[in-house]
Amino acid sequence: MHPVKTFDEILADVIKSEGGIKKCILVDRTGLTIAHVSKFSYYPLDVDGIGAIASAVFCASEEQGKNLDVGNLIIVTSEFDDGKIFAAGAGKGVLCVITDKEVNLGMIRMVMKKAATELAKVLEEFLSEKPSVETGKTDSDREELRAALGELERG
Amino acid sequence: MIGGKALKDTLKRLEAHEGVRGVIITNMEGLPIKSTLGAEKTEIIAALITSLIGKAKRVVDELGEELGANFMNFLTISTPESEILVAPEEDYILILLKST
Amino acid sequence: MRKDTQGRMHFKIVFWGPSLSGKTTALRWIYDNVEGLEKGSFTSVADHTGRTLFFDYTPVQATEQVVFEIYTVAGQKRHAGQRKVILEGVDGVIFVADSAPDQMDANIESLSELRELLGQRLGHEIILIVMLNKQDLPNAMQKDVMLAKLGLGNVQCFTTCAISGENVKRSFRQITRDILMQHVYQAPAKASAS
Ligand SMILES: Nc1nc2c(ncn2[C@@H]2O[C@H](COP(=O)(O)OP(=O)(O)O)[C@@H](O)[C@H]2O)c(=O)[nH]1
Ligand SMILES: [Mg+2]
Repeated sequence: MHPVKTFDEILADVIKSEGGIKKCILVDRTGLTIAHVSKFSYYPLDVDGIGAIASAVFCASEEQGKNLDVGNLIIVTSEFDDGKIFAAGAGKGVLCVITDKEVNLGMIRMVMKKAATELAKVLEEFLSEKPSVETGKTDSDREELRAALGELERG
Repeated sequence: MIGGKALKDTLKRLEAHEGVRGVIITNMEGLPIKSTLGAEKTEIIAALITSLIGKAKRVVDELGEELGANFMNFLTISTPESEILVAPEEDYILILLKST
Repeated sequence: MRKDTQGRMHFKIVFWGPSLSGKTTALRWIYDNVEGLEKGSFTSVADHTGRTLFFDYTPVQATEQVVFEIYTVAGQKRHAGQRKVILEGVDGVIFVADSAPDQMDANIESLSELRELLGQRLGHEIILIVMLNKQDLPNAMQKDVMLAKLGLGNVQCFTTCAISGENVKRSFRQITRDILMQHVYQAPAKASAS
């Protein structure tokens, strides 16, 4: 199975589920953007930076929750003058949804919770493929790493 | 905004009607304010129905001329077994689940 | 190291150190001056004076397939919770010490927090590079004295000035090199058996 497609498919379902959703981003808990989907392909955004903040903000809230002993963090909602940002825990990742100001909060919450459960499963699989990569790189990975070393020597 | 007491009374009155299985009142953002059903079920129904109301309002808006008015009184979803009655008010939405 | 859905390898580097030791200045310098590498934009969560409230972040691409995600942390004491979050999944740490004598206690405290969070992994799986920053100050402490006070023996260490960029590129090169080398020469394990 190709997780690539699955992540994008799940995110695309989220975007289609309700009017007003502009962008969905899936990040892991180290701040790395794993997948993202926009309603408009030209939607101008620095996705990596947005993902890094989304992950850090969610994880910091989670930390806060631990300090205050209020249980697991489900969703973070940020309301702005002209839009909203939601972040929901999705197992080893965080699902971030960016919307217009006027959205159906109930629907967004429902859709995000459902997607988060699906994403958590796929992520688990995706990330568990990696121990093999962690311990022994493939030859092509090694080639890439050597090429990167060369680039750095030159830079 | 209607007060807490009035809301409770309305809920009670409606619930007493024959065949009524549940009553939910939501705000305009689709979040439940009051409900006679369980939390999870309430959230799902509120989300889906208010989302539908948003779309129905757009229909009425677009077809205003055709319909002779540009606002909606009521929305009914009926199946052979049951009905969902939805009344969109100024600042809240009333949802009634009923067996027929 | 993490792989994304395109198979690109991502390595995380964190600038760590006490408040105002020069972490943001150093990352800025790298962002503005290291050429030949593709860089994303510079993200900063800071207050109006430019003091880091949470972190700075910029991705730097070495090749199509190899990306370094570089972060700085907020150094002030009350931001300990945030620092911990940023350290998640780190591959290499650049510890930025302040060479002003009155900052030595802050350096020691910051390093011990780092040691506590990363334990035995620091200096082993997680590469550690030390920048003794603000060496341009007239009263800057000497390298040997600082390392002794920090309890650092065999560590890769550079005396730097983040404002002029003195030795900053070398520190950056060293950590990226060490991280890549570690992954290139890592013993191939079980993977080949499957
Ligand atoms: N003299 C001197 N000042 C420096 C140096 N590096 C940074 N600074 C200054 O120290 C202050 C704090 O720097 P900053 O990068 O914000 O510190 P951070 O809290 O570690 O991110 C700023 O005023 C910098 O200009 C250096 O190498 N020498
Ligand atoms: Mg800073």
